[in-house]
This record gives sequence, structure tokens and C-alpha cells, in this order.
Amino acid sequence: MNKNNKHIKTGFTTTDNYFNNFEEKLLNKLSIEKNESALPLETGFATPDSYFVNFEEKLSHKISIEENTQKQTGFVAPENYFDNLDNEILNKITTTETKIIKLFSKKQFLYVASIAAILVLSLFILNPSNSNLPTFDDIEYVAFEEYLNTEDLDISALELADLYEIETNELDNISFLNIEDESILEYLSEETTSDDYYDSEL
Amino acid sequence: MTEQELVTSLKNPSSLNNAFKELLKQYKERLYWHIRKIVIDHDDTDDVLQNTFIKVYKNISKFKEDSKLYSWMYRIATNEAITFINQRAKKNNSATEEVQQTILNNLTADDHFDGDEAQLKLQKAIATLPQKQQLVFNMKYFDAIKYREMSEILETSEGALKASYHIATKKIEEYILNN
Repeated sequence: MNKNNKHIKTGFTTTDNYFNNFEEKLLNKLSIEKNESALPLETGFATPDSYFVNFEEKLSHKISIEENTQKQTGFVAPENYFDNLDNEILNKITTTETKIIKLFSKKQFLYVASIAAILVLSLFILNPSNSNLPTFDDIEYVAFEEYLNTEDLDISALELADLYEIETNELDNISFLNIEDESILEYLSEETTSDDYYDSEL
Repeated sequence: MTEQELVTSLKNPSSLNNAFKELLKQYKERLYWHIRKIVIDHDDTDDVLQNTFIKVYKNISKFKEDSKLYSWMYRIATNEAITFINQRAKKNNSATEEVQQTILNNLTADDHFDGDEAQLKLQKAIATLPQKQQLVFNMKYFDAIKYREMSEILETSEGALKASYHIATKKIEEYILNN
């Protein structure tokens, strides 16, 4: 007796080769039960001869037709097109990812410029007191005065006179007689002092 | 990988690249044939398809998941294809349908068309339809897309889509009988 057929502690034994054929027997039994349960109850329905024999083949044929519905259009893609497509797209993505993007695009600049232009124009158009706005002449003089006050300029009286565009007939109207002697003397003494200073340097 | 898993991986920067490869594998052919029916020429289809995937890659974070990933991608592909064909028409100063007819007339000499006379005639008939009807007809007739899904992709009610398909089939029938 094979020692595998005897349980050592209990002393029970099995028939010869029981365990050797066990799996095979069990699987056979299972497949019979499965087939039995798969059989329909008595409904009276019947299928054509060999229906189930060719079923899988017919089904896979139909599936392949449905999978290839694109063929109905007549369009075809070049050979190996889909094989290389993935890499092509992935390459494009890497290239576009490293593209440098400007901080301010031309479009953004245009938006800002348009808004600024609208604001400036609306200031002129919508402000009813246009007449109170400073003229360019005013700006020139104001700016010039400011400039003179802040900058140490070496500018001659003649140049200054030129700027103010005093007409010759206006000069005639200026009465030199009104200038007091004292002022003239004071002026001359100041001028002489500086001249003397230069002379002494020479 | 389910669609939900794919979307989650696509939205995670660390798994994006692998998920995107999977996305390409799953959808490249379907989207190719969808675009091809609109722009007809293979090289143009290739351009549009690549742009579609690049847009998907760049905008996946904006995908709100209120529709299916598949519908969202179809929508991008459709928009890209229509924009392309409209631009081509504008450049040629002609209507979109005319551009399609011209491409179809040269199709027999094309290496990438192996259809018979009937298939070519059907394509020409489709090209006579207004754009929306073309889309609906192609998606229903060739791809058997359900109206519910088509409604998500084209953002049109199912009723309007059914009506479009009905009109499209009538027009195609008429064209084929008269030509």
C-alpha cells in the first residue's frame, strides 16, 4: 500500500491511486455539471444545425468588418503612418514646450497702447473747458522760467532778448531816462569789479 | 486603464507623459478617421491631428470632466478640422463645400484613396451638404456614434441631430439618384 493513501495518525486508508486521479475526476465532473446547467430547460426553442459550431467564427468576422468601417469611406492612411505618429507628436510637444514666451506680447502692448490713446483723446474731447488748458506757448515760457531758476546758465542778455522777441519799436518805447543815476552807478561798479578781477588774473 | 484613471494620470504632472502615450495609443486612429472625413486630404489630416493632440496635451488641466474625455477630444478635433477647412476656403476665396469638392475631384489620382466609384460618389454627395449635416452624417453613418454622445461632442440637442441626419440622408439619396 502506498504510504500516501494512509493517514498515519488515524489509520484510515483510501483506495489505491485515489489521490492520483482525484483532480482529473473532479474536473470531469465539473465540466459535465457546467454543460448540464448550460442546457436550456424545455422551452421548445431550437437552433439551426451547426449554429453554435460556427458562431465564434461568424462573430469574429463581423467584428473585424465593424472595426474596419473606415474602409467604407475609401480613404486609406499611408503605410506605417500610425506607427511613427506618436513619436512625431511627442517631439512636437517637447519643441513647443521650450519655446520662449515674451513677457509682454505684441497683443498686450497693443491693448495697453489703445487704452492710453483712448484716455488721452477722451481728455481732449470730453473736457468742456478746453479753453482753460495751457497752450504750448504757456508751457514753453513756464518751462523756460523753471529751467532758468534751477540751472546755472551762462546765457547772455542778447540771447535772452532774442527769446522774448522784443520788437524794435518796443525797444523805442523803453525810456532810459527813468533809470536813476544811482542805479547806473551801482551797476557799473559791480561790472567793473568783476572786470578788474579778470584783469588781475591776467 | 479606465477613462477615469487615464484622466487622473493626465492631470498629474508626474504621470502626464506616460498617460499621454496611452492616450495616443487609444485615440489616434479614431480621431484620424474623424478628421480625415472632414478635411479629406491625408497630409492635411496629419497636420490637424497633430495640432489636436498638442492642444489636448496643453489643455488637459482645463478639462472639467463634465463630459467624457472622448467627447472632449472629439470636440477639439472637430473644431480644429473645421477651422482648417474654413481657412483653406477663405484663402481660396470660395465656399467650404467647393474646397471639398475640388479635393474630391482630385481624389482618384490620390494614393491614399482606394474606394470604388460608389464610395467616391458618396463622398461627393456628402461634400454638397452644409457643414453641420456633414458632421452628423459622417459620425452616424460611418462611425455609428450614438446621438447622446454626438450631442455632447457637437453641443447640439439630440432632436436637432436626428433632424439633421434625416435631412442629410434625403439630400444624399437625391444627389446619388440625379448624378
